[in-house]
Amino acid sequence: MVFLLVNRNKRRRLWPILMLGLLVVLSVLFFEHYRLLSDKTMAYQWLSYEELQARFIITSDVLLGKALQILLPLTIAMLYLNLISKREEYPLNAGNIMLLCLAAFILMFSSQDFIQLMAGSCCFSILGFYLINENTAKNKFIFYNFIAEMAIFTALAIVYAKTGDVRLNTLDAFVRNGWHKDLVSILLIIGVLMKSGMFLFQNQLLDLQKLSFNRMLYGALFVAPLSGLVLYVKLHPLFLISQYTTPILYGILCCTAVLSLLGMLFQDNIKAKILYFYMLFFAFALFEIHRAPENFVAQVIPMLPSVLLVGWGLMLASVSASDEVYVSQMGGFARALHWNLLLTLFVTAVFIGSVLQIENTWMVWSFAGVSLFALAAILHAVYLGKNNADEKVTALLRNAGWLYAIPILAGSAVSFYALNTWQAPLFWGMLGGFVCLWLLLPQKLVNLFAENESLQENDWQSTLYRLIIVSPLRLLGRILWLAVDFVVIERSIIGTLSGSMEFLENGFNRLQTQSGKNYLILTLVGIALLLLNIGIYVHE
Amino acid sequence: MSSPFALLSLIVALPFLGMLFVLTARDEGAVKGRNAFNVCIFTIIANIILIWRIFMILNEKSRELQLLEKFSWLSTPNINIVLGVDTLSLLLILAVHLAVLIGLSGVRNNLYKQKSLMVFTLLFLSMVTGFFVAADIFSFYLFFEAMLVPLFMIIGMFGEVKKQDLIYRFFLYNFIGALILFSATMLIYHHQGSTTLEAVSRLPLKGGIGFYVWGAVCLSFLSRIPIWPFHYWISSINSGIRNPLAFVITALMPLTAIYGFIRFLPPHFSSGIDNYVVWMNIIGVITMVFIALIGFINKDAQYKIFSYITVYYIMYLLGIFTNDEVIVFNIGYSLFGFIIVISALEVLSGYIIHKEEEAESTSRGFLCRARKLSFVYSFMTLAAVGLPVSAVFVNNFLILSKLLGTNIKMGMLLVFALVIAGMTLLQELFRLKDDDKSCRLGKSDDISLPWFWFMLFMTFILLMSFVKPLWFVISE
Repeated sequence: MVFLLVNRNKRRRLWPILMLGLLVVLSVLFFEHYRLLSDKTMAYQWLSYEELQARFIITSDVLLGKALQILLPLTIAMLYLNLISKREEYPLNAGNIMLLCLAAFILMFSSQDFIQLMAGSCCFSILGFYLINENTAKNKFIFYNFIAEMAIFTALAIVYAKTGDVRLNTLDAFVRNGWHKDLVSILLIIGVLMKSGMFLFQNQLLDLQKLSFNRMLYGALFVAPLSGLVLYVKLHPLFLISQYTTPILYGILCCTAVLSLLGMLFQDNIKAKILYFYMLFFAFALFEIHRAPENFVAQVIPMLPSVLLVGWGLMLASVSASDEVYVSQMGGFARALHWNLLLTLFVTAVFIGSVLQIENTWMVWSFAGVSLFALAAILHAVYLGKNNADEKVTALLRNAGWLYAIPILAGSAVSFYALNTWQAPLFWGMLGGFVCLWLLLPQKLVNLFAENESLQENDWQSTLYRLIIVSPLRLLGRILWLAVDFVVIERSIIGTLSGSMEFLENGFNRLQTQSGKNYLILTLVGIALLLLNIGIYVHE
Repeated sequence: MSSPFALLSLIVALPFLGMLFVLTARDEGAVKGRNAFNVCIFTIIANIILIWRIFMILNEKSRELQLLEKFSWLSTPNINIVLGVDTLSLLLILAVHLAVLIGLSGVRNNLYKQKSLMVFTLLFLSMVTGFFVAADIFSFYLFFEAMLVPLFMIIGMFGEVKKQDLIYRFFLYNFIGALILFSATMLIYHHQGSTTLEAVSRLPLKGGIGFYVWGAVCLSFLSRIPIWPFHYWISSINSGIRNPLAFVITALMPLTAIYGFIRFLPPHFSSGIDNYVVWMNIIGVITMVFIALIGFINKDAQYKIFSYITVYYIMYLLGIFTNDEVIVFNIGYSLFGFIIVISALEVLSGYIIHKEEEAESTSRGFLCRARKLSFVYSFMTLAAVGLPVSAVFVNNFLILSKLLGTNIKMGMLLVFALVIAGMTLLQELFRLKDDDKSCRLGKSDDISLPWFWFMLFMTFILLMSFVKPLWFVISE
């Protein structure tokens, strides 16, 4: 918040460096003292309405501690990337938003009632709005997130209407009674899937490819999708009350996995490939959390560093090739970018290690298989085969400088050591398999549809939504406006009223004119009124 | 609790006195428009300080009208003028003052009939404050009708489209509404004997009398809310007004009707009123969906804001019909943030339209070049659509949960209308952010620094109201 007050145009690098330094110091202090806090709660009585008692709570429980042990270093890494990214115009702004996102995560994760949970979730939407500095991407992000927030807002409003309590630990009462269970459950699942950018709602995630790498990586990993996962963890009992939730969820997650694989393989833009990989990861994460919410801290969060590193590793190829993003314009970079290649392979090894530490299920193997296959194909197309880059790019090919390389090397080494899965024979087996795939997969597999503009450029999903949702709504609005407002109200009702008034006015005017007939009519009306009055009097 | 120093009379009288000062202010040459404007600002700030002082001595938890002031008007029939406030009415008074202050910030450079605008603004403020502090049916009725005079003049001066026709309709509908409310007031007085507002809602009106009185009350208040089919004339007036202050003032009219319903509706619906409530619920939801959809397709920024305002006002109205005291209180908290947001949005939108006309250029993409304007406009839009930056967020959660709990189908339609209304505002925001080369507006057209700080102060108020609705009250 303090850094928000700083002029972003003055000392553009100094302030972010100070911010980074401050976060490093705070992180060191955090790691030193967190255990001493053990389950301490800071609570502030926020709302004390007669029917609604909401508290602002921050706890120092073990789970939050574990999550922060990973998220804090990752935020430091992202602040660092902001600093070194040449395309980042305002590193201080981006850094501010990243720190506030961390605060929003703590807010959401510590929440013990709906109000704090929703406030945290909406904070992510607002921060995403300010993080994304490209208008179309921002537009899609906020529309999807707004609708998602409204779906969650409505579902929780129904829960509150029935239980009269906003505390999360009273959800069991609602689950037992199952009021509007299908509606609540489906609204929530739609909200979470939208925020996480799953199939049918992936546009908001994929449009991040229009941003610079630092903003894109952060936006795709730590903003809306992460808040979607926290929502799922916190409201887990509510997702299970409807029989439709699991089929809907699994159906969409499967479609997401297929779409991610196709996207990683056939989208030409390397940024899109990274985003599809992240989409696949979040689909896997949702599946794991649906199986058991504890997996969020136990399995999903520990995988974040390796997933981020894979994105970072793929980014290196683009940075070294004069910011070229099309894989079809790459190929055969292994000789010129050998350090990049080694780093990327090391990162992939870390990713394999992180997969191996997860509980052994068919879904884990599917996720690992799909990811590694696609990664091998991408790396082959970039580093092996025929060089398709133009002469200028080829001439300027340089391994990414130490500013990029050292953090990735250090991060991978620390992760590799911490994971401690490299002693397992399976690790070496998987790594060997990956290397074989990388060497053997044909270059043309990835470049198969690179020339197909309708596949690469067209936004089919937006067109579809425009066709099936927006256009009918617009048509309905136009019909209501023209047919009801103009024809029914303006012409008919108001027209009739005006006509009636005019008719009465003319009638009375004519009665006022001098003629024996009018005199007779008025006299008769007067006599009739007199008789009526006498009649009422006699009756009473 | 009685009022020290007749504070309630003072907050009604001060804008009136300010108006007299404005009338005597010199308005020519270099000071044209400035003197009147400055007096107006000074008066409103002074009144806000007084309102703040009243908050300090008010028992915020009590639902009874407090700080009562009684003036004998007529002995035969025995009619007393009684003034009193509770937290809800005082919060609304404060919101109206802040809204007018925001509106004034939008006309600070205006020279066209500035003095007249200030005169009628202060008169309106005095009348509307009187309306909110009225604690008996006669003063309530008097202020309810008296505020129409300045409003009528303001619309006459600044309602630019189809002027004659609109003023005719404005007068006709409000006149009919006034006559109906007057007849209801007379009947209530005849049956009740006492004239206090609090007694009205507890009146045992049954049978034909109850049916007529509640029908008349509902109809007269509805004539001020853009509810179907009355929405057409109000929307015509609102979308025709280009002066931001005039728009803010006309947008406050439905608030008076909402408040009227709060004061008049009985705590338990009798057979006289429950039929009306059912119909008003149905018509309300239809109007919400109807106006939200029309706003969605309309290209006029003013109409979009109008449709958003209408949808939210009707949601508050439906909230009142749930007949829950707690919800009514939350509506007050929510309205406080809502009024600030809509006033700020309207003033900023007015500024953009003005710049657009001045430069004869499209405003598409203007926000890409005007950073200060972009920040404030984006913030207000996000607050308006319900993201948690104002009291609107938490309190709407309570209101919506009550409505969904009462009738799930109606509640879902209401949510649909809210989503469409929110999308309408977002649509306009992204139109302004969509960089367009043909836009001739640039950095030099951005809002001035003092105005930016003023708007930041308003965002601060909104943020604080999210943390705690009555954050500014330091109880004695």
